[in-house]
Amino acid sequence: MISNFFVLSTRGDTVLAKAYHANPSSSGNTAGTDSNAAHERSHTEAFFRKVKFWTEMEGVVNSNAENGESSSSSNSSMIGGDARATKQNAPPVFRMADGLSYLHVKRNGLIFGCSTARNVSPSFVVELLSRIAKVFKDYCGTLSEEAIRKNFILLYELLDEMIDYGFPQVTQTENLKAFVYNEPIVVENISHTGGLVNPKTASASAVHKPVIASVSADGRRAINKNQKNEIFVDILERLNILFSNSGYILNSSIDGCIQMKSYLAGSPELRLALNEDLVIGKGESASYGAVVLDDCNFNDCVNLSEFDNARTLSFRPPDGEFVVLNYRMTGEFRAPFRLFPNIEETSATVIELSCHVRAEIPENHFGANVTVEIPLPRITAAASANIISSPGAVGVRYEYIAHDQKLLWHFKKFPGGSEQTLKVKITLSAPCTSQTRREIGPISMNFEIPMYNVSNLQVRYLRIAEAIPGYTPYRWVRYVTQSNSYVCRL
Amino acid sequence: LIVPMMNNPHHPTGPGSSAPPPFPPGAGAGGPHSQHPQVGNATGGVGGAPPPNNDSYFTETRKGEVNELRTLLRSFDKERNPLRKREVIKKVIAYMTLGIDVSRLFSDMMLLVETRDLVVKKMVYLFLCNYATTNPELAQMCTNTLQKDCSNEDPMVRGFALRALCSLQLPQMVEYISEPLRKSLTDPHGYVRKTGVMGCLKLYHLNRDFADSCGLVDILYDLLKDNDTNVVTNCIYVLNEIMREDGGMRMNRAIMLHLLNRLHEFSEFGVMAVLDLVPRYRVANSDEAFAIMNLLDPLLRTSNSGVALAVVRCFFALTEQTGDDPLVMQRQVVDRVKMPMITLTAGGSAELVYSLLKHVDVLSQRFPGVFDDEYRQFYVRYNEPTHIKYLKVSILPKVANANNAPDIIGELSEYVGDIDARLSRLAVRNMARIACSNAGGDWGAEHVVGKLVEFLDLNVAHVSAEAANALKDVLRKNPSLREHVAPPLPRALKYTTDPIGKASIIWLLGELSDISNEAPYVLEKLIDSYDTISNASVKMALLTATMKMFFKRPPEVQKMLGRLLKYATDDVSTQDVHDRALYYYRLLKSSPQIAEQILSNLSACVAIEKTFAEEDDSDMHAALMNEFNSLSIIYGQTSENFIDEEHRVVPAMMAEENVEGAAASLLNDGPAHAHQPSTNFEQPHPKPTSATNGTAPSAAVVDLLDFGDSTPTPAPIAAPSNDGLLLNPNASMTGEAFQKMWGEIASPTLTDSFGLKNLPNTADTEGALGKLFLNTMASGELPTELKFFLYAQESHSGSYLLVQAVISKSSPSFSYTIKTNATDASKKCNSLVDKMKSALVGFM
Repeated sequence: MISNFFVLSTRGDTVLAKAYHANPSSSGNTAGTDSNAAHERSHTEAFFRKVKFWTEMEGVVNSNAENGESSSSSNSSMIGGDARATKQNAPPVFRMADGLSYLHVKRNGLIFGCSTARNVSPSFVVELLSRIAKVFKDYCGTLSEEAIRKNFILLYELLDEMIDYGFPQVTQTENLKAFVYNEPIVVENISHTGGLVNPKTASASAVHKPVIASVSADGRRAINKNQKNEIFVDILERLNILFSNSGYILNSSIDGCIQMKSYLAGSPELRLALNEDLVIGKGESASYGAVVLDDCNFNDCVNLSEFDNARTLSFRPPDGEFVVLNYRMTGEFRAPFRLFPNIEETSATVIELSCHVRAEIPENHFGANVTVEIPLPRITAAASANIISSPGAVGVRYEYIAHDQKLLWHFKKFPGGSEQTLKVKITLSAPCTSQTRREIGPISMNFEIPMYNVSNLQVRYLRIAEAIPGYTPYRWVRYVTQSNSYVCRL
Repeated sequence: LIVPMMNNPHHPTGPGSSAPPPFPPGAGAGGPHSQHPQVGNATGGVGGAPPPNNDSYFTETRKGEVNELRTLLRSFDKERNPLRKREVIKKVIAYMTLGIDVSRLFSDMMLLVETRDLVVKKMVYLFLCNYATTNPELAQMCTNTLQKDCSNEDPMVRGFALRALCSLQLPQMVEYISEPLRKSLTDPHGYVRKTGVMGCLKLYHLNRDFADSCGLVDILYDLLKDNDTNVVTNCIYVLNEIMREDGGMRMNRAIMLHLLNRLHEFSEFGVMAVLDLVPRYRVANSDEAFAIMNLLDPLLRTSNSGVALAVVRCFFALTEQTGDDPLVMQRQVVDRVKMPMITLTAGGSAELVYSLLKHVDVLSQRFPGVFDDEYRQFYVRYNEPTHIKYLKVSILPKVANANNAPDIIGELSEYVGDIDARLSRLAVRNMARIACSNAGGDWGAEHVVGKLVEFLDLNVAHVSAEAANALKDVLRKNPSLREHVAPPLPRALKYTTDPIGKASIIWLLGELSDISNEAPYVLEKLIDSYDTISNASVKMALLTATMKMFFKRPPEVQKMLGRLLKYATDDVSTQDVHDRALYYYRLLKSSPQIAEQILSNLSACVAIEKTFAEEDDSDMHAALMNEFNSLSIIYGQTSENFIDEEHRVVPAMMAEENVEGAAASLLNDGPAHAHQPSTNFEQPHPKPTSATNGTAPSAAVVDLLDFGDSTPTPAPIAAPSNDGLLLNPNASMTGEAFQKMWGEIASPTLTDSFGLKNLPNTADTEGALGKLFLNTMASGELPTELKFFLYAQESHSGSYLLVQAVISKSSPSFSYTIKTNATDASKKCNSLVDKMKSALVGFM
């Protein structure tokens, strides 16, 4: 199945590696493993370089025959030129010169990768790698280079149980407990992974960070301290909204999930009830005000027998973090923030941009850590801004990043129902052209709204299926709305 | 209570932090400063023995550290603190991970394997497996300990030791492995059995013949019925691997249905392993295909994309067997799986989304229209990785239709302004695709051309070039749109620097010279600066365009054409250009009429209803569908293009004779195969399984799948089948009764024989027949033949069928004489013969 597995740090060092000889050549050669090992190592290095400096080298699709061979070389140089402009991300699956396919997932800046000679199912392998990363996180508490280095013996133990000879074995966190004898060494806090981490990947995984920061994802410790029976439930919604420059919504969707982290002793069966009038499938008839999801899918452990009638899920919570249900909604919903940008050319080399943002959420809610990002033209010489804040906004400031030619507008707290304005004066180093105008925008927004969800999906109750006397679990239910791709065009 | 995650009895919960850090600062774990020596040493030092004369500073340092570790390891006799011990061994393993050669410590490490501290034991195993191949003699010394551990009372220890033993990969160890391995397969603990099954594969890879001689395959088939699904999953992996050259594990209906029926007990990865078998399964009839699809349908609600895609793959394969038009059926399948697939893309990580979108990409081309209404899901999000953005942009034209084309074209033209140049290029290119495929109707094509002309004028090098290139294709498809294109061309030529874009514009000018007044004069400028053109394709385009223009506007062009032909024939930088110019020159000289004919054909437009040849890849998509849910979809190539021959698996459909136990299909089977599983799956099992006897699982399968009575069931199963012969699985008879009855029935009901290819031995024959409840009363081997006395009892009437059978050794054949006192005797005898043939099919 897979020939080897490795974890690489942000700098490309091998943090963990294991070779499987599941694919010996048919001639039955056993040519010394030393050369194999050297091969593995040089190839993980080559692999890392390829991931890090990925450029799409495939030629222009429609380079036609008329142009002859000479066009292919000019193509690649052309594409190569493009690559300098924007950093490209390596796809998770690609083939290398050694004839093997390499698959990888990135988690917290670390690369979990493997190679295979077979025509495997890519989703199968990627799911496996993701699972390994999850199990590592469950056992180490946090997933970082430091945590892995400190716990590598434990992780080898886990890896041996999860993959034998290249084939997946036991992969559930709770089932693995029986085989593991090492103790995790808890790494305090998430160590900074250095500036080399792609900020996008880092923040994407931050979205899935356990919600209650105080537990600090440190399951082991909690158990040692004889922690009370607790279960954390998150209704997490990530919004994708695309506004036109007039404020009209071009595209919108909610990617939601119900995520849990259980510290319940003996993992009793739980029942989770959702809105009774929940409708699944856009075409279905729904009463007024009902929540209509396009579709949803469930964790393997969930029993759906009562879902269709009573919208109730029952399951035994597995250990560690897990997603009970993912859902998707593209129907009408109220965008929590609306953006109204406006651009004016006041002179040949000066552009004035104003941006109003209105929070259309109830006043008792607020947006936390809100950032509005405005890309500026490449020929920007300077930019300054003037902030007009309405009361209630906390920690408002702006920041012009000359290196990336963008302007960031931060809020620690953006109160519901309020409207904030930013006026930016952009001075150009050359006269403005239509291309310059095109380079401004799109404006994107990042935020988090605690205890608020847009879809109106509710957890009616979460209870233990069979009441056990004297067993009082603590249930923490949280709603969080986050931006995923929240963009306004100019 | 919560099971503590670390339940090591030997370890008092002491402070782990008091131990020294596992990485000394010099080991390269801590800071980036030590990276270079580390890499250098890794490549140099892994080569087995320590480099003898490599006196570099860093190697010396390492040597010192390794020696230090050795001293520490040797002092363990006195060391009583298990924590200290662990820390030192940990350090050794840490060095190993970093690629530092610590194989010199092998003998010291081996001394530690005798310990009750499981943490230490596992670390030593890890070390052992890593260096066994470089120290085979030393490794062999610890086989005793490993073998002993294989019989430890703790099932964990048994499992760990077995895994280590099988992972040593030393050919000379084969004989030491086989015994513990065989024992492990009947171990009461599932963990040991599971490890043993995987060990079988390791043994097989180590020494194929030896593994064959152990009869592992038969044991593994038995273990498919194990009540631990992890064992079953491993059996599937291993059998698939062993029979890889034949296209994967051989199966029959009973096996498949048994596995499907237990599907809910498997882990996600186990489910995928089972689902992987389904496409190779030959259904008994179309009802069964639908029944299996219904059974798998709930799995589409899973959040595991691997499972979901595997189900889709099964659906495609099963619909091919329903007898209906597969394309129509598969379209329905895609309709069914569309929503789950899109939901998975919404919730999944970028890596999973990539794989899913690649599959959507192929599906949207194979089944146009199905994904159209979800086109907004393929809009690019600003924070996505570039590979997903590019993929989405290339999916958008494939989901375009007359209704959504305006939206999609609008969206794509937004991407053109993106700072990522590749994204904007792709956006232009894919807008052109909408126009070429005519997905958006006439309006769409015209709209696209309008946009492309706008981009041409945008004065951004890469966008203009791409737009020019795109326009060329669009015009070839839709010549009626030429008027829109002509005006900006002369302008665009000036600021396009990109060679491909330039060549495209020149081509367009040549094509549109009849409506673009300026065209000859723009080209003239280029011709007069011929020396400055460096790119051959631009020169080539210039030649052809000028030629075309000459026939449209001879008086204006004649002179410049003459100059160009001269320049080009004198051009020694490119052979192609030189030859082409010479060719044109001679053509014109001999017959301008013919030249005109040839040249005007060059600009022939592709008829509207046709597609460009390079884009017509429906055959490719059909081929890719057969490899759905594999890397082929990611690479857009079938597997023979990228998988080494030795790793290629050509999936083989389940043999036809295994569809049901029906005799008719068993008679004309091919040569027996070495790994042919016994045709029926039911046989007594050493371990208790959920089923009370062999027939139960299959019978349950039939019920649970809701096949109803119309479905034929496997012959050996006690259910009404058309031949009407049901045998009592628990029949018994005394020898006396047999003899008495044999004597009582005077004339045999049936006497005949059939040929065998291979000679079975007595035990095999008895076993095979016994599985069909044809029991042996007595048997014996004579120099020339094998003789059997067999009996069977019909379940309904209780009447007996007696058989005397002889297998001749000289020319293998099976002769039989059947006697029975049952009613309808001849019919029953015939079906009994069919059963015997099906039992012995492996030797026929």
